Amino acid sequence: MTVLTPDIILIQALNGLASASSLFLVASGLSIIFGVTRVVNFAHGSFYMLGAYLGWSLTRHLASFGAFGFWGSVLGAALIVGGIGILVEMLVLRRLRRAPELYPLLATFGVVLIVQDAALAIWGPEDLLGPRAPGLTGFVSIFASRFPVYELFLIAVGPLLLGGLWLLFRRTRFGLLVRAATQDREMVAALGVDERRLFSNVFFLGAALAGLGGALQLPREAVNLNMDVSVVVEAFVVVVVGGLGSLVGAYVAAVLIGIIQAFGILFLPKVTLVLVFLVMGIVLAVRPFGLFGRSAASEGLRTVAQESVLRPLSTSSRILFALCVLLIGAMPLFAGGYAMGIVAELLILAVFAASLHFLMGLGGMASFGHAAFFGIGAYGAALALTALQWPIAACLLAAPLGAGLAGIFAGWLCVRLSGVYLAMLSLAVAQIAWATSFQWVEVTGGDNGILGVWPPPPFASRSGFLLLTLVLTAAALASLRIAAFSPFGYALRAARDAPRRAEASGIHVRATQWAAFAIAAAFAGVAGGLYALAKGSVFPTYLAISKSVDALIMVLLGGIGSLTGPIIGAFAFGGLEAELMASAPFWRAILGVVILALVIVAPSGITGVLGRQIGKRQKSAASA
Amino acid sequence: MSTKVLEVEGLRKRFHGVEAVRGVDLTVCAGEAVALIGPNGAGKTTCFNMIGGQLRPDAGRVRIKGEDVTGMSPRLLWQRGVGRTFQITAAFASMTVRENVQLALHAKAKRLNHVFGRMTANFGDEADAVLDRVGMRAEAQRPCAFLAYGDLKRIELAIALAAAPKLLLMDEPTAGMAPGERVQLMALAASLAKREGIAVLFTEHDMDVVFAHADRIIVLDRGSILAEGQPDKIKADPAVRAVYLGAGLAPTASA
Amino acid sequence: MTQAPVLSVEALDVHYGRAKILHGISFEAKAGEIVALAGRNGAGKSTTLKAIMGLVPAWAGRIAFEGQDITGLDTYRIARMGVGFVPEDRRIFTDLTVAENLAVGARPAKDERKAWSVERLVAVFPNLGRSLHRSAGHLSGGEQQMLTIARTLMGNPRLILIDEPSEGLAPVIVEEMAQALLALKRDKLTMVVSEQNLNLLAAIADSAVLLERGLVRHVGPMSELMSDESLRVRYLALP
Repeated sequence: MTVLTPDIILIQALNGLASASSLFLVASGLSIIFGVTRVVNFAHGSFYMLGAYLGWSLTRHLASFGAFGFWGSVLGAALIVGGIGILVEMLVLRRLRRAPELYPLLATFGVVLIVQDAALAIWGPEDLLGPRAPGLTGFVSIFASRFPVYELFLIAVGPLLLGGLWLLFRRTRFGLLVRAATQDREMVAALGVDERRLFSNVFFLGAALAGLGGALQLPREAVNLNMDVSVVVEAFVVVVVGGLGSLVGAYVAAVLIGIIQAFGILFLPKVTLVLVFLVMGIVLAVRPFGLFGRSAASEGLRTVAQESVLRPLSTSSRILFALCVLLIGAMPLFAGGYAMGIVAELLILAVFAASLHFLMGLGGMASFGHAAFFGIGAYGAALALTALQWPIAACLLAAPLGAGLAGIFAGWLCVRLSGVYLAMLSLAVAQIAWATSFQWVEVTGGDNGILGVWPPPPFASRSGFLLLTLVLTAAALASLRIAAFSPFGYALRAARDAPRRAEASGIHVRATQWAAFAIAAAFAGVAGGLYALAKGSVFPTYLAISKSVDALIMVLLGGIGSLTGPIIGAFAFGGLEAELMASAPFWRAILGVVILALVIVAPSGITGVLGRQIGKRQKSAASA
Repeated sequence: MSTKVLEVEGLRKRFHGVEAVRGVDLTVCAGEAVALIGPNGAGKTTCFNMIGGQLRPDAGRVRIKGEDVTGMSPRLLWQRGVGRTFQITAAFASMTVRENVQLALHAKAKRLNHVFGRMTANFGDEADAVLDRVGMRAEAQRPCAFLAYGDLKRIELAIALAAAPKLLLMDEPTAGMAPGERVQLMALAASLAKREGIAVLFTEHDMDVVFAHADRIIVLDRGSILAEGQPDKIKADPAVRAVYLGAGLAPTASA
Repeated sequence: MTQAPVLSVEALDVHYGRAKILHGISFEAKAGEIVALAGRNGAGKSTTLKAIMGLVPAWAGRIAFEGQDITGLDTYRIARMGVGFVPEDRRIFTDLTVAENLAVGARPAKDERKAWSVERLVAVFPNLGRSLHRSAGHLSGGEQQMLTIARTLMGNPRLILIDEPSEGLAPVIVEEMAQALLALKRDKLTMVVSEQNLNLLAAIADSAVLLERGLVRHVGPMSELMSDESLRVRYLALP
């Protein structure tokens, strides 16, 4: 146990404040961009990382110019990143302005993947050490300890930036227009303001702030390829805890998070990760719109582009599905082990995607943390099999049970919110689960995971496992479909379509959504349990953000307007990923480009495009 | 004498130190249509939301058929026979017209928690009967997302009627409709109320609608009741003319 | 030589998704005139105004402002040329003060007419003057409606498109609104007003365009519509 002396308290507090400043730089840009464009910008962490890498390269080229070289590099990196922000806005997001908010979000995730591989290609996999800041290399004495001057400088940056932004928004015409556009961008255009230029400028500002944040990190820490996701998740936490749209809130939240981390490392190094997200969960449970946020009526996150009426399957579609099941069931007769393994995995992903679709498509609750339940199901089955030595049936039951219980708890927290807040809170819950799996080494094996999770005979063979998977996944998908058309499924959609109307018509909106959350979690658990057996192992990455995003991509790729969408999306995405990972060196970037192309070309998803084609054909047939 | 369905006593509500509603009393009897009118900001919507359970009053009582329901949620009020339509019309857009009403009937039958069995298999005929009453039977198969606004209003009414309400709260029921449609919709609501003994309380800005279909009018101004009575009496009341009705618009002189 | 109309709409078609909303709408607004767009719900009144403003794309047809083709231009360009838009649901910036709302719309005048200033607007809309530095969200419905019109005037438009100005307003406020619009008309402002309240239209409009299901059914002087009962019954379901 560390002894708490005044100088340790002070130094840790100062450390916390210094981290808070860089966090605030990223979070303020994220918040400004979200406010005006309604884009939840996952790529904001990439802007931060690019700022750091570009700053590193520039300082090397300008090293001979001394102090001017360093500060010029920092500023130059921020400006270049701002320019990259404009490019992203112009080339990608501008085309998605009329699409539901989830599509731009997905597009920004595509940008994340592209930037990751671009950075890898340009700067390589090694951590890069930046120079120290000329003029600020010294230390000051605090009691008996030495504290870097550069950290003091960073501490000052936060409040200075906050003041500068306040002046910008309150005292300039640009700020006035940004505030107006935050409320109603169409109306701003109708009053003669070029909103596209305004958007570009806002993106420049937001991206440049993130780039500055990254470049200012150079003297503090090594530049690496993991900076992007870790910082963007923390920035999300800051923005949501502070209250969307409130810069003061973002600063206060940044300080809160910075301090918690600084002291957490000191006293509870094992649970620091959990601690941050726990604080977020508590804040949102008590103040649903964050510390300084207001009612989030306008912060909706539309999941369904156009209310589309769900129809039961036509007879021909039923036959098609039956044929698919038969075909897969017959695979042991003609297919190889590798193909059967892939198909089993795709079936599992289809259940994972369909469970998220139940929550998101039917319930209107976009979850950014659905992988938590997938992962909990996986760990549940793996532990039951390896540690408890349960029979296989019990293990497969443990997966949805564990995930469902977790879903009951998480759902209780999450359904009190809606839109972006719900998405962020679900992300926080998932991060807690992820951090637990990572740090609770005694049970989960930590980073090493649990190995040897192989199903016993007759499911040990590829063909046996494929048949087991086929039966269970087909049953799961059919159950989700039946539920969608049941009174409960209709009540869930009613709660999404018009919550006030639903409540006044005798539908208990929150209870319905809560139940849906638990059901979706349990089905994700089914998928997770099977996945553990398919892979023979479980790792914390099963609960990671990237897995949750995979699920989002599958649902949106397939098309959210139909129940078949997530299944098709899972096969398309899963198949593509398996193909790319196996063959292409820069598979992430390729995947990113594919995501961008799909989101821009086919925003209604594969089923949406197919539906239109069929509609066209029927029309032309009718007119012929 | 008809029975009192809704009784409101001494209702008060304060927002940020400003008293929006200051002591409102009113009653509505079975089969009676009462209009709540008044200038913008007089407290009509606040009153309405307190009666409908969307807002909790600072003081005062709301009773339905004698039972104290003050502060109950909209869902609990629904269980006690309160139906409502909203100013911004909202039906369940992702469903067909018939499914909207079927769902309301399932709620009435307490069958919303059924996870198996197709919802559309039950209450189809009952739903059609309700749709008949609002003149929407022919549109039963159409998706609500593509209905005209006036038809959507009828669906909202049908959803409320499906639960066999004792009291119908209608917040600006004809907002956004063409003048002719307005009178038709309110005539429909008023006749249903008469025939089935439903108490109706509505807010409205179209005086043609109000004077044609309200049995009684309550005028709210700055949070209190300014006048109350039969349409003719209200029409002639100088105080009401001054704060709300105005002198009437003269046709343009241009030629 | 006759002057070009301030606004001319020719054979305008608009689609939303697969549904065709407007089928070849044509009408004109002459300088200083108030044109009433009347019709039932879903007749296409709002869509017509939005299409003129570039807020929904025109699929076919031509829209000209003061003789210049504005079809397909960006909304902000149309606004800068001198077209103002007052939307139906008010859409003021509730987080901004009244003065800030006005400032967003401010744009210099492009013709010889006296430019609008906050002082001049307050003379037309006295209620706004009392609450210039209050948050616009705290205004009453009537005041908010006045603010949307005032905000549009700050851009010194020569044509304004007003969508359902009387919706949700008390009759006395509607009368105030009529007075304000007539004052603007005396200032030679051209207006196209989509409206359900026939009394308001009768008090202000010079001519009327009757829409039904996306088609123009009748164009003529407002007085004709008011005296011809069969027209009103047929297209407005009104006696």
